[in-house]
Amino acid sequence: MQVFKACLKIIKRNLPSMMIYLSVFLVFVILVTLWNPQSETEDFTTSRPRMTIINDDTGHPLSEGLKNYLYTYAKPVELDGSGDQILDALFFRQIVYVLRIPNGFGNALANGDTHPKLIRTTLPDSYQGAYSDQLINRYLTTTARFLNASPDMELSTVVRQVNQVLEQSADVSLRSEATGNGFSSMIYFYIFLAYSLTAVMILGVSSLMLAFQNKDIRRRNFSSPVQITQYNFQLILGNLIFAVVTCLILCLVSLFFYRRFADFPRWLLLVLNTFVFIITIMGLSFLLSQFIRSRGMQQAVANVVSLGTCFISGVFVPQELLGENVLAVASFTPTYWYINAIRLIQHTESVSRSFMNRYAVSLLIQLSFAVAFLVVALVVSKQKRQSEKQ
Amino acid sequence: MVVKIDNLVKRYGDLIALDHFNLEVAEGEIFGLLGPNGSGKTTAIMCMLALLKFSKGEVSVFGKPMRPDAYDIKRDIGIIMQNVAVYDELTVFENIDYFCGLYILDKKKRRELVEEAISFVGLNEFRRFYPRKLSGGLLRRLNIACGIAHKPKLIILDEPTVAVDPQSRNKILEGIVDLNRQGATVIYTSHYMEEVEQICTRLAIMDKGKVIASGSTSELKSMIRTGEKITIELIDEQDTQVVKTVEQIQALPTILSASLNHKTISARSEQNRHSLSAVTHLLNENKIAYGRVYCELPTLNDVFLEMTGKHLRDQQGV
Repeated sequence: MQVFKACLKIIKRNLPSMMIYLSVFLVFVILVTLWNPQSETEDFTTSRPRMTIINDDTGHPLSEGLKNYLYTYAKPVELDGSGDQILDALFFRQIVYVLRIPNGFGNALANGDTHPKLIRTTLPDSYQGAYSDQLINRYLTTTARFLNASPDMELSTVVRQVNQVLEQSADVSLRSEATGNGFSSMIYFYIFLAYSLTAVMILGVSSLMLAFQNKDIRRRNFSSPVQITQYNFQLILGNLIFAVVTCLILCLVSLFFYRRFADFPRWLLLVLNTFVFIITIMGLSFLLSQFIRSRGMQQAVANVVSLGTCFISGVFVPQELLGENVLAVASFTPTYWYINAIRLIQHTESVSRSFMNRYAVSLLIQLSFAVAFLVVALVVSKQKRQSEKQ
Repeated sequence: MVVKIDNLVKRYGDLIALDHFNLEVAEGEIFGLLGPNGSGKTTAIMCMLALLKFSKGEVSVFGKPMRPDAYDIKRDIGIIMQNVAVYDELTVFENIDYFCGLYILDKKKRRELVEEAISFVGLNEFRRFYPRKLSGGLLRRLNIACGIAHKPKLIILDEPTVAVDPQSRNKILEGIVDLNRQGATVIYTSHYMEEVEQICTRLAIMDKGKVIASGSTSELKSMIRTGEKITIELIDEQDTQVVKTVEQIQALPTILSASLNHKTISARSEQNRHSLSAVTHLLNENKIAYGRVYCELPTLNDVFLEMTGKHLRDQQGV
């Protein structure tokens, strides 16, 4: 097993350059985990926008009712109502919303105008402003419905009834713990893993092939009594062991980082997907190695291929944000199907038959890529060998 | 015969690299394959090892036909290529161990052989060095160690001293003679005729893919008409008297040719004839003042020059 042992030694010698990619990856995923970029919501806390209400329709029950209702959900900030002071307060974010209730507002509402005129001033693109609008609309809509349903009801009674209705709340609980922060971070780990795995595999496999494809070394090896089938077998075994060990180490690292949140069956699906992906990338690396002639070229190919495929396949930018044309091109790369399988795992609650079908399709497409890469690489390799012998 | 090649023809498209090439190497010989660059030496070696397909002819090694799958024959061959063929990622020890391990499976025996090879080429101090850290000479020695560690019966060295300093070259040549003393048959290709003259017991001279002459050094030298070469350095500038004297030297019955170049007269004498005293007598008689006089026996370059009309080594590279 001399060839196999030499493979391991050559990989060991090239570990520093591969470790750069892995270290960058690990630092990156740790930072991502700490900053918690995922968008899924685990809990909810009501927000209380800082609001000033200037009521020019004082004394009317419906206007007073609106003011009281809004102050229940907002932080009241008293201002004297002069234009400059209000603008300054908005500019310095002392308040986010100013509502002026004009004179006659209550009567208009009582007389069937569902959306009587209100003067609103808020910060542009402020979610608290949108929330305040939502509160006002809720109040107006509910009041209008009461007035429409019971035109003879006393306005003070209407206000009380509206308040009772709007005070009602419902408890919401998240159905699955798996949608929590830990599992999402693990998903991010596996998505970003595509980049590091691609770079590391191209570097590792091409280092081996650069060494063993050197014309003079090949001649020396083929002058020895080692059978060519044995030689190739040991070379493939060396590549395979490298791929499997890299895959195992990274999957165990993911388990170490996210062990508290790990959903074991889904973690296994992620591992299987990663394993299939690494085999595919091994095939791609084997093919690229047939054309790599120097160390400089090796680094360039590793960077261009890993970054290029990851950019268009949704590793750095979510697939949802990529254009249709980009995704159409990306579907001709194994990375796209690797990410596709991860997204399927991320969005499934249970391992159903339909999920498994779609998951299996992603894996099979990746494996098809692996077979295609290997076949082309073997054809190229055989042609090179034959031309060398001529 | 350890190696027997019959009528080998190898073509690269329209170019004939080996043209009915014949070779016989007996056991225990250091056989030199001498020829200028591009004469077909490396191609002959590649065909001998079944690393190249050939158009016609037969190659047998140790009495058996050589084929790519003749693993039992390959077990007893050691090859040292023209270019250094070692792994940059492995140390000196690991490289020798790797190539030895392709032939010797027993770990203990291999260890002993690797140590022996390291000592043989004098790389003990450098065993943990990576090839990139070695000088050209040391790298060549490593290349040799990788080819001989498994103690092959037949060692093929394809120009192992190219771009090597004189000290390392001597060390390598001494090593080859040692290997031969230990029982190995050696085939040594080179375009350095001095090396071949120094170590080879028998040799063949190649040109344009053919063996143009073979035999021992003295046999080859006796094949040509040229005997001793006489060179005379004159003290004065050439004049009509000197020109006349050169013409008289040329007319001597034992002289094949004579020429005048600046202040130097060169003359080639016939094989087994002595002309020095007649030449100096003419110089004295014509009162030509001369400083140094050299008289040399013919070299392999003279053999090659007389047989092909061209020099054995590229003159630019000398």
